[in-house]
Parts: sequence; structure tokens; C-alpha cells
Amino acid sequence: MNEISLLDAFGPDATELPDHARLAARERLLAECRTPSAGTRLRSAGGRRTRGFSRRWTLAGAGLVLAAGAAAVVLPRLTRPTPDESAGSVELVAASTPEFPYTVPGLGKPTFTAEPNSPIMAVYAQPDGSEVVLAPLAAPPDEYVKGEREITVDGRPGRIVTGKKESGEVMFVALRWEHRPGVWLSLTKAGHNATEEFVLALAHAVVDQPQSVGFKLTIGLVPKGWRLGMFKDDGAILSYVDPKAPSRVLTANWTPQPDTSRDDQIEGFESVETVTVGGKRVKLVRAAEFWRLSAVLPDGSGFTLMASRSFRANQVVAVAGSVRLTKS
Amino acid sequence: MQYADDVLIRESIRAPERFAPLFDRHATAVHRYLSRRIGESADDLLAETFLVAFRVRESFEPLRIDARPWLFGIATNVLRRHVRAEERRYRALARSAGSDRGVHLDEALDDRLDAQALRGALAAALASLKPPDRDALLLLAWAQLSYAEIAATLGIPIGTVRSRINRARRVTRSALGLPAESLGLPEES
Repeated sequence: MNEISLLDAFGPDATELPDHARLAARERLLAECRTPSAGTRLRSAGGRRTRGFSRRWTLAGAGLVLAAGAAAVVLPRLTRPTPDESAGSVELVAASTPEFPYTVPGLGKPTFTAEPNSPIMAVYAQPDGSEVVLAPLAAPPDEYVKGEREITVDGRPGRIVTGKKESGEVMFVALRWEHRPGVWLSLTKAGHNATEEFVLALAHAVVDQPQSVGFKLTIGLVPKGWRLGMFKDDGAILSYVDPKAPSRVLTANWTPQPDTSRDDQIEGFESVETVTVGGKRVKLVRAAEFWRLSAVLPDGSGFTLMASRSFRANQVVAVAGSVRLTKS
Repeated sequence: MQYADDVLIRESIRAPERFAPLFDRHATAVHRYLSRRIGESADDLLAETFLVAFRVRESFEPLRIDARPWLFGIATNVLRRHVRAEERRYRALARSAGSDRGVHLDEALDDRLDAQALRGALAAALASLKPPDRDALLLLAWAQLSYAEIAATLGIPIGTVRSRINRARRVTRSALGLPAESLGLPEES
């Protein structure tokens, strides 16, 4: 055994990567992916400019800490459909307007977000620059987060935890509680000034008042039985999924300018045809595993639609024709 | 369908969310490396590592397929801003093992003395290494990178990698009470 082997065998042990840390780190990364200038700020490899992470998503990550134990409105991963899962036709129906079922009075208007495999969250910006995140849980929490303790909220069960750095500085306070019989919510306040008292006061204030989840882009026609999968950037990207085959996805992605990328560079490219959407001629690409259509919106911006091959070509065109821009 | 790392990175330049599968694929390994070096702070540094990686993804060399060495390199750069904390941790581990005075490897192994003595000696040795030497040694020992990969990761000639590792190994051998045998490698000038 040489010193290299000894270092491996008897050097300091690795610690486990806790689920909450994994989720928080992943969420921070996804938040970075969402920023308009993603990836353009740094050019040299190294760790010098990593400050200034979005507080919002640090908090969102913290929020997910508590969603980890019992994922709420679990959203499937956004993946391209595989051929065997593309089998079966779809029937298009009018899409309902998505709503978030709860409101925290006094916190202002939230923004909403949802990632694949993650709960839909309402994010409330705070005057101090931090944010409060409210998310539903699909089931009562199972495993305990480190440091979490039991608590009662209006006589119903809950759990609360204060997340701290090694220095002892508070990072967030997060609460999971039974909002009403059988309905569990997660509420998280980030920042060094987060306190249990504040979070509990907010929890008491939560009311069952639906809020419209306003999207930048809406899809008017979706397959029957499919549900909203993920959305981000205020609905500039959204997808609907088939709950029976979660990799069957319909995705619309808003772009500031219409997509002009070459069709034959699309993975699995098979053919292209010209169709009419909104009175304009656009190209519908058939690839091995999906359809792809890019169109121009009335304000000159564009959107790209990707649909599984379980759609017929005329259905893709119909869906594209139902896409609307609701915010400039 | 499993896309190669380089494909995901290339695609992520146009479609940033394509970077996320790299996290799913490599987070555990990167965290393991970080946590052996910095302890619980690895949770934060893991996020930092992937954020940096995402921001510099255009620097990823297209001829590489496996992103792991690249990620370990970024993690190593991130760790450089925490050198003191890392060294404090090694010294604390050495103290807690009660063996910061050193140990004789042969006795420890032959007599089956507790592994704790070895751990302490190794931690003390790591604390005493120059940071660049320690980086190279631990990329070899814990990240299982080849000399060539370490050279590419750190942006230094492979000869420099050899000399840094050579020097670090001698310090470590000395801390373990092993004879300072020649490793047959040149010193970095």
C-alpha cells in the first residue's frame, strides 16, 4: 500500500450529499440557466466570480429543502419522447387557465415557477431583497430534514427548521404544516433575518384563494388528459405532459426573435414541410422522435413548439395556432 | 437516451437547461471530492462549482467527452478561496486523532494500531503541503485523474504535475514514517 492508496483509504472521509443540499444546488444551477445572460458573464475558468447568486433562487432552493421529503405537485422531467412512448393518438381540447390555489395576504403579487419533478411554487419578493416561497406538498412529510422539529400550527401538525451556515448565520426558516385536514403546504423565508415567528405568522395568514398563474405564453389547445408539466421564466417556457407516459411532452418556448436555426441540424431530422400558422407560412419539421415548429408572433418575437410524434401534423399546426403572447 | 457530456455542454450554450443533466450525472462525485477536502462546506461549494462550470461552459474543450476532469478542475479552483479553512480542517482532524506528532506506518499496519493514527498522520501531512502540490496530489488520489488530465485541468505542463505530485508524495511518506525512496521523478524547477 503506497501513500496514494493510504490517502484514499485513510484520508478524511467524504460526507454524504444530503437530498436537500442536492436539490438546493440543482435549483441554483437551474436558476442560473434561466437568467437571460446565462453563461455570458464569465469567460475564464475558475471560481472568482461566483457571488451575486440570485437571492430568489437561493430561497427557492431552500424551499425545495422541504419539498424534498414529499414532492408536491410532482412534475415529470422534460424529455423528448421515446418512440415507443409516442404510440397512441391524442385528442385536442381547450386548455384551462392554470391557477395557484393559495394566497398569502399582505405579501404582494407573487411570481410562479415550476421545474420538472418539482412543486409549483409561489415566490413573494420581500422589501429586504429576500423572498418567501409557498408550495403545496402532495403528502405529509415523511423523512425529517436535519434539525427539523415538530410544531403545531392552529392545532394541526407541522415541522419547522432553521437553516444555518457553519458560522451560525441564519440562511432560512422553513415550515411544513397541515394547512387544513389532508392539505400540506411548505413555506420558506430566506435570509439572515428569517425567524420562526415571522414564518409562523405567514402560515397563519395563508388562505385558500386561487391566483391566476399568468404566463407570457399560453397554449389554447392541449391533448385531452394532459396536464401542465413545467414552466419557467414567467411562462416564457411551458410544457404539458401526459401523466400516463410522462416523457410525452408538448413544449412551447418563447424567443425574442423567431428561431432561424437550420432544420437539418435538428437531431433525428427526417423531413420538413411548409404549413400556415396565424396566416404566415412556417416550417414544420418531423424528426425521429418529435415534431418541431417555429413561428412568428404578432409583435415580431417567436416561439418554438415541440410535440411528441403521437401528434398528427395537423394537430401540431392547430396547437401552434392556439399559442398566444399575453405579455410583451 | 443518454447524451455524452460534451454534447450536453455544447447544446447548453444555446439551450441552457441542457446543462442540468450534467449536475445529475456528476454532483455526487464532485461533492465527494469537495467534502473530503473541505467537509460540510462542500454542500455550498458544490453549487458554486456547477454555477462556475455553467458560466464558463464555452471554455469546455470540444474534444473532451467526459466532463468529470473539467468539473474537478473547477472544484479545485473554487477550493482555492478556502485554503485556510481546508488546512484548518486537516489540522483539526490531525489533532482529534491525537497523532499530529506523526506515526510510523510499518508499526501502524503491522501492529494493527487503530486506523485513527493513520488518519491523523495523513491529515497532518495534507495540512503541511503547499496548496498547488496538494491540489495535484488530491486530484490524483481522490478524483482519480491521470497525470495528463491533471495537467489539462490545472493548465500546467505534465512535467510540473509530476514534480508537484512527487514532492507531495515525499512529504506524505515522511509523515507516515516511510523511507524517502526516490520516486524517479524530476523536481519542478
